[in-house]
Amino acid sequence: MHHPIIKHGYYGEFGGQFIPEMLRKNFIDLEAAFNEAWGDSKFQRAYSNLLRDFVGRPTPLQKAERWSERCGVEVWFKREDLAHTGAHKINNAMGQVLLALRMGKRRIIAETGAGQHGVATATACAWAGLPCTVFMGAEDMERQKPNVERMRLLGAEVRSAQTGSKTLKDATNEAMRYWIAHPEDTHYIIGSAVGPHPYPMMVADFHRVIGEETKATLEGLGLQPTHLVACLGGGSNALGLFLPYLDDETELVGVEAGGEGLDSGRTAATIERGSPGILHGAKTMILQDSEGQIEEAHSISAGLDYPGIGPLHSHLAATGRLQTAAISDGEALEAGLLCTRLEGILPALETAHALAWTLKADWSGHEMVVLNLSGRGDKDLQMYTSRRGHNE
Amino acid sequence: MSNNFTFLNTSDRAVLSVFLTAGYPNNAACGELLDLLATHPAVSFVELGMPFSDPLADGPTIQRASEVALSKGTTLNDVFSLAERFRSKCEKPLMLMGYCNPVYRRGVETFVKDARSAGASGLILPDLPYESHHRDFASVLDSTGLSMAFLVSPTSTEEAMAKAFDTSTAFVYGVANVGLTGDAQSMDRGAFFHRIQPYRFQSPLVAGFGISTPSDVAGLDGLVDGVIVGSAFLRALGSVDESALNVEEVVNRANEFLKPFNPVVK
Repeated sequence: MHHPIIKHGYYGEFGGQFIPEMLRKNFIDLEAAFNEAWGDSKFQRAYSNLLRDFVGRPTPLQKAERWSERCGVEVWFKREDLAHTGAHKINNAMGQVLLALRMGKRRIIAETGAGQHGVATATACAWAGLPCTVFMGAEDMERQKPNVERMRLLGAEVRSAQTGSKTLKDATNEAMRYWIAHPEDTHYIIGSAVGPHPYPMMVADFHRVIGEETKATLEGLGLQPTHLVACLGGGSNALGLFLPYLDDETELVGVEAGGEGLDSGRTAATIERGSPGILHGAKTMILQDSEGQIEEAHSISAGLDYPGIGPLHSHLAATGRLQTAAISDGEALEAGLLCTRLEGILPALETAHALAWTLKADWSGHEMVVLNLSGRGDKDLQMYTSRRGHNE
Repeated sequence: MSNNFTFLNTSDRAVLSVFLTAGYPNNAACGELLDLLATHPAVSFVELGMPFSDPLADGPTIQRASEVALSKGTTLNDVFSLAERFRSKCEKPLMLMGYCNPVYRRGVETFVKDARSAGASGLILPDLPYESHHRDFASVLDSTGLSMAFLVSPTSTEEAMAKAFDTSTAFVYGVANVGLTGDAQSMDRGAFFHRIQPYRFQSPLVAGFGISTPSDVAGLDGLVDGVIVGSAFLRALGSVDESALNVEEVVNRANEFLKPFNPVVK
């Protein structure tokens, strides 16, 4: 493959393809099709035109004046919340739908946590005229109702995952099971940089436009960021921003969902609290018990409520290139509310974790931070308003 | 003969193997079921499922069984105790079937040695890649005498079929449908098992996934050396409501389920 960081589907000791034989051929076909498409200028042109005309790229890179003042450091927001459908997820959904069309697939499936990836995929499928089924944990369907309705309006079928913790992990299991039963005509659009190779790198590649735009804009201004900050669920928005900077000296900070606290047993901070294991077809950092059973993650943010993380993130953390931190449910809510008041931007609860970290971090004041404002928070209105009621 | 599957090659009809999930419907009942399978003349060997929280390749029946077993606190040590109990009753081969993560969590070498001393014959880990098998499992399997079965499925490439027969030391597990364990048949099984025939080499061939009735088994006669019945067996055990769980009743139902298989297998 075209990335020097990948060796036989592994990123260092992480990654791989821990999949049943029934899926093997799908992965062989997918890797070949992606490599061929990614190297084809026609595909690249179709993809960038779509990003420009349909998604609304490039998204702005905005200096957040009042937020910077509050943090005591210069903070710029990469405004992925302004991308069509309100989050970065659409970059990957459009790219993979283009790929699916090229492969002659006739049906799309996806899993979703917060519903952002589900909405993005349903949108891409409406655009492409492909039938779409989105698997979503029953608990997530309850806490992210507006997104469920949006997906249905877009023509997607939303199937509830009733097993396990009834969240993103279980929705992913259900999507993979559906794919095992329908291997020929279906393409599975994984929503984050997780899962078996080549998904982690493919999803990251479809998001690398975030970092490329950031770099181009800042270089045009003669600026070089000292820190890039993003929240980590599966980790796709973070990788999108980080990828073009991997070989630079810029510090990369991934902010995990601490949930009710790192030692509370109710956390989604996979790198901070997890250990190496195998989940959803990849070796990566996971939350597991001493028997190797996957533990339930907990976060107020459905998009971060996942007991795994992309294998490339695990590799970058293990080698010291990526530093991680954890932010609690309460800290995230407060930061989200504060950002709304200070900047006039209601951020997704996922993004609010990254925002909270910039408030807490120890700055000298000479740094320059780019924060991936990965999504808008309309879907989280209910949680924000109840927190505000609680505060007052 | 407990870790030797060559007997499969010499039988003229497909033999029957039963899959059950360790700790389901509870530990005591599972033990009794293993006793039944150990002595039942229709059953040639057994797969004992090691419950996992995220069983990707399993349909609703085995998912549910794993969930129940885990909710009752079933651990790997319980799996090994059940294996020991089975081994104390018979010489039939016993395969442990599960997913990679719990095995790696315990440590491959420790796991394999524990499995061997519990009397297990081999392993089936559907999500284990060949590279990981070569790197992490092959030599310790070799030194302990534990065998391994790899899967082939209707979507397998020709290369993958050849590799499965080349690498499997127990038997090759032919996935008899496009789908998960327990799914209803939606493909031409005969065509698939005919396609496998040219790759058959040394290792016996056993069919599983979606095999539930004696007529399914009869339909594969001459094409495979054995069949595995799993989900249908678990379903036949009936309700798992703890308050109503009667071990004797569960064993009776298992016995009833196995009855019609008698005339089909050797």
